[in-house]
Amino acid sequence: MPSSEEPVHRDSIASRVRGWTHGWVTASGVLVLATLVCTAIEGYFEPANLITVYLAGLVYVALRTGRSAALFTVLGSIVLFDLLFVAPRWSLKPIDPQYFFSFAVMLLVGLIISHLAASSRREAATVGARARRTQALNQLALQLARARSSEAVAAALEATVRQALGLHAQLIPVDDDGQLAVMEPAFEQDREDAERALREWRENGAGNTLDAVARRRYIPLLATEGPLGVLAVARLHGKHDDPEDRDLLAAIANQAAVALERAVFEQRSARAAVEAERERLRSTLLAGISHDFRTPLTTIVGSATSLLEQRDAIDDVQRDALLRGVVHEAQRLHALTSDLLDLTRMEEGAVRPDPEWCPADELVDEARAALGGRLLTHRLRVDIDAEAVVWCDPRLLGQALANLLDNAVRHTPAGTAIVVGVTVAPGSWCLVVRDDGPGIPAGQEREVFKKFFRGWQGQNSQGTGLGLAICAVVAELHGGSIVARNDGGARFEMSLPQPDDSSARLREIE
Amino acid sequence: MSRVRGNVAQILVIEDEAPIRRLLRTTLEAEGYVVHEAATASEGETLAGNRRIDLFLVDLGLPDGDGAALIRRLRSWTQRPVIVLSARSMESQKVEALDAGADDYLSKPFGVAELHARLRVALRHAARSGEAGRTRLVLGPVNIDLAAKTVERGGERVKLTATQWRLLEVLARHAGRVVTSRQLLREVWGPGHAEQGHYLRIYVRQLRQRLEPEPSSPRFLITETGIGYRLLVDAPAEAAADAGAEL
Repeated sequence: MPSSEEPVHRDSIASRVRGWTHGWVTASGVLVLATLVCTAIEGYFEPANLITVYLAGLVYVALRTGRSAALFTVLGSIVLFDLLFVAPRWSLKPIDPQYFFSFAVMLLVGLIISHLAASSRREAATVGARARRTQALNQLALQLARARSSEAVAAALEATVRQALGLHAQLIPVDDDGQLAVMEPAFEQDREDAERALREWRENGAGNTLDAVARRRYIPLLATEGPLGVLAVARLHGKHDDPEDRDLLAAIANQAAVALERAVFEQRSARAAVEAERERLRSTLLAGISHDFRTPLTTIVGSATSLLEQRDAIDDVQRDALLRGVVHEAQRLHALTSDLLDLTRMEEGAVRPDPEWCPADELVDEARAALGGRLLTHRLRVDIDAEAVVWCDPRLLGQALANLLDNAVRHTPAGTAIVVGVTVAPGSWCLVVRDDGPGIPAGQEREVFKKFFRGWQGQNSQGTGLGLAICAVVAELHGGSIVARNDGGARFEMSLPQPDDSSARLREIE
Repeated sequence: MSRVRGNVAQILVIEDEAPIRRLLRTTLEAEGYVVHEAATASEGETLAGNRRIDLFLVDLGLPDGDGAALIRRLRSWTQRPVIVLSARSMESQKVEALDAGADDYLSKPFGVAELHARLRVALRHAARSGEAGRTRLVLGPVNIDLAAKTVERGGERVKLTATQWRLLEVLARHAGRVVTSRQLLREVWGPGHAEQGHYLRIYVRQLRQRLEPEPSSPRFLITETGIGYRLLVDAPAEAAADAGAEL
């Protein structure tokens, strides 16, 4: 129920009680003071004039406090004046009927002044409340202007409702299917009400959805494409169902809807940008794949048809060369397919690293085994402490190391040295592969980890163009990173996290 | 070695891809085997029941069912060797097939030398399964005597701890064939340790340090990445006389 007597106060009953007490204390004090003044000047003035002193006190009380205190002052003044200053003293019987007129005027004046004071106070309070609301809305506008996500919009909205109205609120967004997201438990129990508010809005337009709800209010946040969510506001007391409160809530909800719509659009356009970038990568990838697949296939088809159709024109040496070419190119295709498959599965999260404690030098053994005889053209120096134990998925790390070594072999002249090192520090470990070759062209230290990177032409046989990309994904899957730089030759450094209890774990099994 | 029990060895190829079946038939017949072909698991099972098959080559990507289940069904009535064919990246599938009872695997694509080596090892094991089994193995300079439980390297006795010996013994019993990590852990440490792969890494490393001429480039105790280990041996000592000519 809207209260017509009291200006809207956000304070509690306790403060209202304080206001009352204050009124009575002021009234009593003014009465005592007026009586003292009258006693002091009694000898010099007519008793009828003394009543003006009380009148002055009444004006003060009526201006400063409520109507009841003013009435109390009027009645108190009449009683005290009659008792103390009108003969016979100490009796309530006035002799002169003129005094009745004075008392009536006094009562009237008291009532009029206290009424005027009360309405001016009410107006002041209304103006204050309006100012507070305007300020709250301004503040909300400021916060919303800075809010970039729906979460930030929600936070600003909820804070504003709390500050301006002292009410608890939650912004419940609508998901892509038009369903309301999960609500706080306090609101969830009235989920049906919220859904009804939303449904009624959809069916009837922005009708009187507020009245549909008894205990809580659900205000749809309306955007051009429909409701983006519902602002749920907890109702504290019946007192707060003020039309101005409703207007304020509606204004807040409107502002929030605009901000929320902007946030949603921003998220959408960000998603679209990511999608476009992914599309671009995909087409680059497809171009790379089709080129890299066609080259070996051309050799295979050409050699095989030559063997079939030119049987008589080809001698044994040529035949063997063609067949070896077929095998070599087929193996290249196999390597490419495997790398592409591995990379795709890793990137799509189909490969989960399964880390364990692993002697660091075993990674080298594993990589060496994977590379077969290909390392024989170079001198491999292993700079790893035999006791070093590292935390990783040995398969993935073995594969990454094999790729790094393969990369070094392909980009450095035969006979040069390749060094593999592992250093273990508290909390992390580091795998380094460096060579004596010409190094990475300046500015391409990051590019080399991209798929089908072709800017760095190998001197020796061609790789799949995916090896270093796999290294980068392996590092990422382990929560680490890989960097390339020039240090004499090329230097690749992979840093991976390492839990602290390695020594304990190994002692346990020895 | 295409002869088993005095007859020509019969091989059943269960593979849905016709070009691969054709390749296998060509290369296997060239080696003197008799080849039967099946394109599906059910066709393969029927053929397996009707023919006297000495070895099964099973593709794990059959259209009508999972390869591991087929192997389990085969294993319910025959101990003839099963070699599975599978893509390189499907390690878990291979491990499952091996744990289901397959003897070995070949990763596609494979070379024919690798194929024939696998077949020879598997058929040799099968031929010996009725006998007491081989007790002496030679790995380059290393001699292993399974009966006496001794290992010699260059004529000198190599001391192994009990765990190291158990690991070597399991690998030696499957000499030439792959043994999955899980199988090794179960047989060496017991069923409770089937998940603790790092035990295995440490002990394999210790064995390599004692047996391999160059432990960082193992020649005998080979890691099959993602699957397990394989102990490669020289010609079997007691079979060297009759088998040597064929190897």
